[in-house]
Amino acid sequence: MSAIKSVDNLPNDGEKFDSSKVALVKGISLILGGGLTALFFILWLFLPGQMQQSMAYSWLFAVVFFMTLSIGGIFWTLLHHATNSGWGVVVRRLMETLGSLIPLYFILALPLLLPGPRDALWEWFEARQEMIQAGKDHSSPEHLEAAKAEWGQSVAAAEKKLAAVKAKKEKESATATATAGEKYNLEQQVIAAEGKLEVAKASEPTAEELASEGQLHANVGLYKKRGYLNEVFWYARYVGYFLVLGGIIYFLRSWSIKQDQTGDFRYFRWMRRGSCGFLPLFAASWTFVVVDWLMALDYTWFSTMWGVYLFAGSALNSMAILIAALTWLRSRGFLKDVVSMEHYHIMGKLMFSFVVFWAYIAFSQFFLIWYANITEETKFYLTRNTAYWNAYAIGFLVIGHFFLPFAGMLLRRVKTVPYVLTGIALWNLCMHVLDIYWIIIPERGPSLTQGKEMVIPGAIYFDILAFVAVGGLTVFLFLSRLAKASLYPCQDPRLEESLNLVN
Amino acid sequence: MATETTTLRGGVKAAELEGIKRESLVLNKRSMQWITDRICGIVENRQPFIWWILFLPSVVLAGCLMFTLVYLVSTGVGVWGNNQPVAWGWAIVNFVFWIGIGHAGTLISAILFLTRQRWRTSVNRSAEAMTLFAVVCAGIYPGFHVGRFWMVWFLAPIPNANAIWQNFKSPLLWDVFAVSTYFTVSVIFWYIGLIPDLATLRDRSKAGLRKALYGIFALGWRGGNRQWRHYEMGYLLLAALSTPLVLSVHSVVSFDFATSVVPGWHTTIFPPYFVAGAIFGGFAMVLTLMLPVRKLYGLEDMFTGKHIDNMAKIILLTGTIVGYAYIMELFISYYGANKFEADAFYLRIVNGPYTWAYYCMFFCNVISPQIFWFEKARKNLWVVFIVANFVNAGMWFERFVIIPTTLARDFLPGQWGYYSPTWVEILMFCGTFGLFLSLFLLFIRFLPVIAIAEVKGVLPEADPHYPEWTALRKKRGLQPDGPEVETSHH
Repeated sequence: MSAIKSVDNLPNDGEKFDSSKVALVKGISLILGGGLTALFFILWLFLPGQMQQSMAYSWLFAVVFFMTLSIGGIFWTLLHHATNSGWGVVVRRLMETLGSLIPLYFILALPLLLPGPRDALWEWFEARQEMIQAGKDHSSPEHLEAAKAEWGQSVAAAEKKLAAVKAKKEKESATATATAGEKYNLEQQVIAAEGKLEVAKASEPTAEELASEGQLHANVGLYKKRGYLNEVFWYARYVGYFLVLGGIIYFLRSWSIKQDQTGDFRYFRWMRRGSCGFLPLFAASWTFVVVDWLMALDYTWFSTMWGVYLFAGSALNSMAILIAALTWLRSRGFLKDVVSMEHYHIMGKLMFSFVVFWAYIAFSQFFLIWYANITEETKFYLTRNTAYWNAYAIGFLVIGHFFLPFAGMLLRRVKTVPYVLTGIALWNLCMHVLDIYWIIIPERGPSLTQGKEMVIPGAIYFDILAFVAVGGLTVFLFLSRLAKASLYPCQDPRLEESLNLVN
Repeated sequence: MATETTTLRGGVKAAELEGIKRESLVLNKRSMQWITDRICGIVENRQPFIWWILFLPSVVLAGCLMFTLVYLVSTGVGVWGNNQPVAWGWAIVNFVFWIGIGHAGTLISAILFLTRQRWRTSVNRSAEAMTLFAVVCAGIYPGFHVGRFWMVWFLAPIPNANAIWQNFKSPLLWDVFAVSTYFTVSVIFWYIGLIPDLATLRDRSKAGLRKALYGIFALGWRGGNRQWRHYEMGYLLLAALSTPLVLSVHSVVSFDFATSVVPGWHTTIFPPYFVAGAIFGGFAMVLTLMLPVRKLYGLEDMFTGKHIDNMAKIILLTGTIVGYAYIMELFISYYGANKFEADAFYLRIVNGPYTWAYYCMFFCNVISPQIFWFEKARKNLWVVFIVANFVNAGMWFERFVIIPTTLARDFLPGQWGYYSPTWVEILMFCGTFGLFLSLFLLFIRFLPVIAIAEVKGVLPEADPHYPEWTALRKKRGLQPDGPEVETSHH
């Protein structure tokens, strides 16, 4: 049994990340990231229309994948504080740094807001324009005139009818043989005719009504969603998401760093309290990010599980990248004194639990849609069971994303050997890449070719290009941000607890 | 000794460090002997008068349950109020209600055990017992809903002379498997956990029937090193087996609804939403039972404010998750642009026969737990008790909202109806509470209500590094942790 580790033996200002030790990696990532991003957009400018559109999917795929890692970083930081956790103090700075990359994705996703890529990805924009146009056509002056004429006729008809009924009443009631019942009946007929006339008079068609009617007939599904799926709200949400997500991690990270410098307990309390309050905001933002960006790739499809599904994958894979980053940093001589095999063990367990959670959510979503077999829901899986996507899903998502890592991580030994665990973490990361790819890319062929083709030939090279470009920028920014503060929160009051973690 | 202004590393004040210290799970520095005496004392001494005051009416209510069951079997399921279109009435509402409550036990035991949440030790035993009794109550409903109770063995996949085979495509059949597996594993898990404590009770009993019975059930436990090694490995493996079971049972219960194409039932978030709801309702029931028990038997030093605080936080979390699911359902009923889905939710929240039930549910499950954002509310036992009971009611309403609300407004307006329970259903539901409480009170009477051996494991001196920590704290001028010399025994 080893002796306990006291914080007194650690330097007061923690451990600096000397980025000169990783200058090569940093340089390569900058060149790859910056260069390939530039190349991607230059190519985008010069390539023909369909390839441009298909590159929008590539870019979305790359941005979303790396953003899920950052989202996971925010989540683990929040969870750490909200649960008053002690184990993760020594790796918390890595989580914070990962989370703090979120503004990068705000910037990188901006090109997708341009009308070209935007309409290629989210068909509802075009469909909405068509719908609005249909509304305009339907409410054009001629249509309005015709409708008004029709309305005039119906009013006239109602007036005529009323007059006829009244005349009949007068005539009949004048005859001596009319019974009380007949008179009552006639009276009622008059009342009914008067009512119909009033209704007819009140329903004078307006241009707005006609426009709505035209829109409804043009695209009933989209018309019903117009309160949510419209340009203004969509752009506002885009800004809102990043304000919320970026704000959360900005506060948590800056408080954490301030605590390093001052040792002030206030920040510890702020981080705890703040995190509890931030959690619902985080959940709401991320849920609607994935609704807007991924679910709306096919605006007719929907699933209540969607937010949870993307969350599960993000948390899992951000834990995987944390494990991989930790091993790499330790191999470069960092964090040697504070991180122990116990931390690997606990991170391995969390990664394992999220492998299972992801599979649980993914399976439940698939299973319920498959079992109920309702047309508008099965669409999603039908596309993804067509052509090679079926083998892809079974091979990578069912076996690769669940069964193999599940079996691989069951043994305790595996989780305490850093290189083995890192291997599994990297495997999980690859599977997550393929998961995000599977979510986005199968939409591409059918969307861009009006359902004629599943695959756009050659587009996969741009997927890889975009992935490497965004990945390079991510790595570069991560390493730069890491050098801004101590590698672990050196004044955290739970640091000693974390050092002496026992599973 | 420490002074408030002692400055530690990095300018940290000693007093501040004390302020965030992990709270002790056993208060007042109780000794191991005290823990054994206090818990075994409940079983060994006469029960307080109030135990009888609670027990006798519970038994009478349980008798009412028996009566209604006999009446049901001898007359037919027509004595229940469910009929077309609401073919599933209180029977399934109450089944899901009780099954949900039956989740906290194994959750606390298994998941909190795997995640090394040491505070579980004071709660797990009673929560597990509660789980078993709740599952017993739940099991009654599907059993009797089949109408001909003597044919209930048809539920098991036993081929018979008439070649009746079960429909393996039906989630209702999976339910039978899931619940019976869960019950079996939960019983084993609970019993394995009881063995060391049963041996303690045996060793403290005088010769006689009591000693013989505890002796038999303690399976010859002597507390040797080898026994502990095997015991702990077995317990860990059972915890690992139970964890997926906790999730699977309520997921399968949710499939009963979600695999259908019925508006308001078919939604993909149902499995995790049901699991979160079950944990939510289960914790509320544990609090409802254990707040009086800890007061009555003087267990406040082991079942502390910290335990209640944690459970209140879990209720807040799971209640908010359930709220997320409610809101996602509403959002997708709008976003999905499906007329029937939208109508189902319109009937739930705007103008339908059971709109009142939706708001009862929403208030009890989502709004009322929000008070637990405030520490003061979590520390006030009355507030905790009242909110826990709101949650109990709210989780019942949730199932009620899901089931009759949807069925009462079928696709064909000509089939619309309104469901209300008959006296038989009401009496039967009250009867299950009688059965549940009777069993729980008998459990308190005959078995250790807190896991004695496990609570000893979370005492500060159980930490192998305890002397080192004490020395370090002393060096820093902080109050050393640890037991004081016992001055009096209760």
